[in-house]
Amino acid sequence: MRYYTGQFTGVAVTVVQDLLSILNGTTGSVIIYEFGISQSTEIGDAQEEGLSIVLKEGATTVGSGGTIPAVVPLDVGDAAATSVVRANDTTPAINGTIVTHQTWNWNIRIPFQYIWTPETRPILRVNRRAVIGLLTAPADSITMSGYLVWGETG
Amino acid sequence: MPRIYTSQFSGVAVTAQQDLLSILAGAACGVVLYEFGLSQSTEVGDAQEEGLSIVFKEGATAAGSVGSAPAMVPLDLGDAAATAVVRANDTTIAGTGTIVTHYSWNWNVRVPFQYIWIPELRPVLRVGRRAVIGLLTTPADSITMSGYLTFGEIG
Repeated sequence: MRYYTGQFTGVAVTVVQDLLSILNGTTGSVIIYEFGISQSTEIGDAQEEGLSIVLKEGATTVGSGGTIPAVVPLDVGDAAATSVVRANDTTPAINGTIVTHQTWNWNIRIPFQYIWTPETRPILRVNRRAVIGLLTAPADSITMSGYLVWGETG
Repeated sequence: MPRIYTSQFSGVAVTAQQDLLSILAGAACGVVLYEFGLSQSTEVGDAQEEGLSIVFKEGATAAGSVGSAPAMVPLDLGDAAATAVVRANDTTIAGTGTIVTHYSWNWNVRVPFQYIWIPELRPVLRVGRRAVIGLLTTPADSITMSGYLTFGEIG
């Protein structure tokens, strides 16, 4: 297994979006281990809010409006990843049979980190796409960071 | 079984962006990172709350400066001395080389920030590689920070 991270830093988030998405390549599988999201600008009691976050899978059309962050192996000697990560797509990935696996509400005052246990790590077969989606428009612009950690087989 | 070490700084006034902690793998041993933690004691209460950008980077080829080189302490006192080099609070950051960013967080300073890598995802630094826990945000006020890094050496 080769492990990779992709991240975004200090992005002003004002609307509903795909915070992170990953599309598996044409060979092997992607196994998702962890993601984290956090923000630095809405602080204190008066700024506290709860945002809806979901893990979805199955979109066949890529989102747009965001970026393609670098994909970095955790071991510098590993081959480049074959999957593609996107961040902050304000036009979400659509089409296909999209299923929602998990849903959370994030209190933005504290970072949100999710680590799957070994038995429950999502597996993306070839050409499958998963999305960490923000379903709630923030009340104010929030400056966010986030990361995704996954493994590739084959 | 790697030899496991910790290194830490305590009660340091942080007023500027800096490499909070960095580690350089020695010439003979790879390094595996297990955990780090950050916290502060002086900015407390709702009005003092702020969010600071923290990143985990790798690949700098030259050390930062101005900070300190804290002791590296084996968790088993019978183990050999570490061959890695840890630095703390370098306000001149390690900025040369092909630097990649693995993780990016925002730390709410009201509560400690601890990150433990699960076994499969522990970053591996090959010989001569450097990793940095970096503070990308200048604190609004001076914050008195502590921090630690836990790592293993192989070989």
